[in-house]
Formats: sequence, structure tokens, C-alpha cells
Amino acid sequence: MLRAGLEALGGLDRLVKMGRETLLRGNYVAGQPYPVTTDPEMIVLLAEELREAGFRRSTLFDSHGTELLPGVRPEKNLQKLGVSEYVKKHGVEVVVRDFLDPDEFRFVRSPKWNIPSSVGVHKLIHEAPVIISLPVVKRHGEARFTCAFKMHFGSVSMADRIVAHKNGRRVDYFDQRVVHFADTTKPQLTIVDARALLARRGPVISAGSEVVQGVNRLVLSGDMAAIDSYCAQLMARHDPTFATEMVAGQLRHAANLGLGTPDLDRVKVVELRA
Amino acid sequence: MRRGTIAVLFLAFLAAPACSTSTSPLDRELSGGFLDTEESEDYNRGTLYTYMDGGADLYLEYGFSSLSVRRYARGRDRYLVELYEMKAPESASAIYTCNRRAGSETELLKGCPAGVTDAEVQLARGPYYLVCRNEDPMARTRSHLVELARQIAEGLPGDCGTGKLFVRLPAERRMPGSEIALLGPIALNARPWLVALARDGFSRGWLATYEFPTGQVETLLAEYDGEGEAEHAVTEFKKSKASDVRAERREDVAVVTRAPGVPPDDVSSLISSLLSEPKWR
Repeated sequence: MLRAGLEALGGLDRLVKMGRETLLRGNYVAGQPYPVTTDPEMIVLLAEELREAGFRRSTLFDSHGTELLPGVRPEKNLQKLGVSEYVKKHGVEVVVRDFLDPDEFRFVRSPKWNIPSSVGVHKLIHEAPVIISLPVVKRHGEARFTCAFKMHFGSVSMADRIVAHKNGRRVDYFDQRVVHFADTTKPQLTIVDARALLARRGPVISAGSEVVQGVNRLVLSGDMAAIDSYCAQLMARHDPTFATEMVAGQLRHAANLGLGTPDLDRVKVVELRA
Repeated sequence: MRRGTIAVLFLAFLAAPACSTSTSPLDRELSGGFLDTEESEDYNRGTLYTYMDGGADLYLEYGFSSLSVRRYARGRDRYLVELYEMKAPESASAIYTCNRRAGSETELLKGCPAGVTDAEVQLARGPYYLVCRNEDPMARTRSHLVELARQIAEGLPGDCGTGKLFVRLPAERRMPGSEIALLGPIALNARPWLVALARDGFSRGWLATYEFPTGQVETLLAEYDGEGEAEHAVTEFKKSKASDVRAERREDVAVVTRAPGVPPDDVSSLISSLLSEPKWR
């Protein structure tokens, strides 16, 4: 299924020409398995495809913790889920970084952003020749929906995440920041594992959450806006408390910044059955 | 300079809670073979994000004080218990109404309604909001989960139910269990048709569904910080493309409705009743 999707996009040759090392951005926001976090099996399958395409090294990156607090070590969730051990056994390196360490970040900003303050993006992400993002599809309290764009809250400093949440009453501020954070990362490829969804409540399984199984989709594209537009439709189909209008603000900001095409009528959507 | 500023902000936000030696309602022994399997975890307003990431926003908006998490085993089954202490019983009831699933409510203890599904039991009692969950989200048997929740709920102090939380809403035609108390703007995400409603100045609100012979009317009675904010909300909402919606205002209170198929006169009558001066004022 994954291979068929990659081939439909034209294969991995173009990515190999950009560099032979990939940074895989998983989502390990909590110590809960898929669909809250990226399935390690997906990482291993992708790494095999990357190896066959000529990549020398694949590194799984995550930053959801700090050395400053004993209960929130950066490697905690990956270890609890057995992800580190599993993917390392299959030749994927694992790198975790402290989301509070200011030496870990490059501070960037774009003249296109309406919020002018800079954002601290992890150095490893900033410098990686090829980034492949591996989100899951979930509801989220403040953002309402998390997939390709919101995923990159995990790519920036905790200070920036906090400031965005603290301004959550200003929906437009939050929606803009979701897009700005993704703009700091701009993965070459996003692969969404939408075999299942976390509906109603998220981004972790908590009171009121519902895991919807049987969705059975992998969604691949270099266009984060198209991905989120498509996956928001999937969520709306399975979650009566969600509508695609809930992410319209994020998608509008993304289109204004030239980060993709949310209008699926203007995107070639290839649906394969495997 | 910038880096130093950021570090200070981080530490202030994520300061670890002090160790507490006070007893928790979760400390009592359970019967029926439930074994406490792991060290308990405790979170406060500063650390809740480390437990549930962006899910914390809603709890903070609703007056969250602290959270105790315990894990239990019974045979092969694994259960997670979350006991949220909210700043007041009203806060606990409100977050319960926000998270309960329509049609899932049943009486767990005498006079104590709970939202019960195969994977989850939740209820509010006193200042506590209790959530018991099967660690397998696809679980299909609930009897042991319900028993675990019942034992813990019995040990909680205070009254169950929603008390006077929805006293502002007319009772006639209101569907039991449809009410949701909104204690801040994030809670407006409870219904997709409310996406066009302005958050600026939104203070609190009450959602409920009313049943008419021709269909159902979803209503939100929303309080804003001032008349200007309420007027702005109503004006903007009327521009939305959503079908079958209406919005009206009286002073700093707005009523918005969604009523597919229900005659306009019935909806007008309901709006009028929602906007009328409450008898208790």
C-alpha cells in the first residue's frame, strides 16, 4: 500500500537527489499507541522503501520532553511505546531533543507572516536535507484538528507552542501560528497513516475520545494544505462533532503563504486500492 | 538575551508540582480483584500539558485544579483512572456535560448519573470529575469497568448531577442529557455549526437540544463580556453560510439556533423564551 502510494507520486528519485539522509518526523505526543502516535511499523516500512531508493540513513526525530523535569524526559514516550527499540532494530536511528533547550533552535521568521515574531525551529529540522512528516489524524481542543500542519508544533520550541496556546482565545492567532510552525519545517513529503482516526476529543485518548477504525487510508503528498483538506473531509465523515469549516482558517492562511492548495478541485487526487 | 527570556518562561510554565502527602479519594482499597499496578501520577495547572498536550486547554478553561492518575489491572484487563479536582462542583459538572456522549447516560449510583460506554465511564461528583477507561479503546465488555468506577465514585464526597447549571434554559421540550455548559471559547468547538460564532468576548454559554414534532432545534444561549461583543457575534454569525441557523441578541446575551425542518414560528417562540428575563434574576 505504501509503495503503491509512493509510486503514484512519481517515486522517491527526486528526494534522493536532495540528499541521502532523511529526517522522519513522527508524532510522539504521549505514551499512547497508534492512532494517537505514529505507528513504528509505518516508520520501518518507509525506511525500507527509502533504503531501496538509495537513502543511506533514516533518522526518527521527536521532541516532546525536557531533561529539566524527571517525569517528562524527551525519550519517555518513545521508550514507553517500545518505538526506539523497534525501529533501531530495523536500522532507523532515533534522535530526541529537549524542547526547552534554547541551544537546540534556530530562530526564523518570514516576511510573509502577519505575526512578525520569530519561531525557534529545531536545528536538526532546519538543516535536514530531506524531511518526511508522518502525522496521524486527530481532533484537538484548541486547533480542533491535527494532521499535516498542526503536526509541526512538535518541530518548534516549547516557548513558541506555549505562546500560541496562551493566545488561543484569538482563533486567528492560533490558526496562523499552526501554519507558521509548519512553514518553518516544510517537509518534502507528508505521509498520513489514516487507517484509524482519533475522533471527538484529542490529541490524546481522554474523556470523550473515540478511536474510529476501518478508515483504511494512507494519504501521501508534498502539499500539506491538500493533505489537511482531504483528511479533514475524512474526519468530518466519521466524527459528527466535526466539520471541515473548522480548519478553514488554517487552510486559508496556508494558501495565502503559498504552502499548498486546499481546494481539492485543483489538486489531482489519485485513489488506489491495495 | 532572547534565549534567557525563553528559558525563564519555560520554567515558569512547566514547574513541577510539589510532592503532596495529603490523602486522595483514590487511596482507598478496592475489592473485586483490582490491583493498583503503577505509581500514581499527579498533575497541576502547570504540568497538565505534559500529560495530555493540547487536550489540556479545555480543562484549564473549565477551572482545573489537579489530576491524579492511577492504573489498575484485573486479570488481563488494564484500566486507567483519572480523577480531576476542579475549582468548584459547577466546574466538575460542566466538564462532565462537555465530555459525555449523548445517549450514554445511566445511573451508576443512586442519584448519580454517569456517561457509560464500553471503553469509558465518566461522572461528576462534588468538585471531582472521574474518568475510568479501559486501556483498550476497542473494548467490548464493560461490566468490570463499571464496577471499578462504581467503587471509586462511592468514595467521592459531594453531590452528583448538574445541579443548577442549566437553570437559565427553559425545561419544556428540552432533551435530557443534551445540555452542555460552555465555560469559555474553546468549548464552542463542541458543535461544528458554531464555527462561525465569534469567540472574542465570549464568556460562557449553555447548549441544549429541544424536540418539536417536526424536528430538533439545537440552541446556544451565549453570554458575552458586553453588548458590543454580543452584537458583533450575532452580526457575523448571520453572514455564515450554514443553513437553518438563526441568531438574535438581547443586551449582552445572544441566542443562536440550528433547526433543520422546524417551522420558523416554533423557533421564534423558543428564541424568545431563551432571551426572556430569567425568573431568578
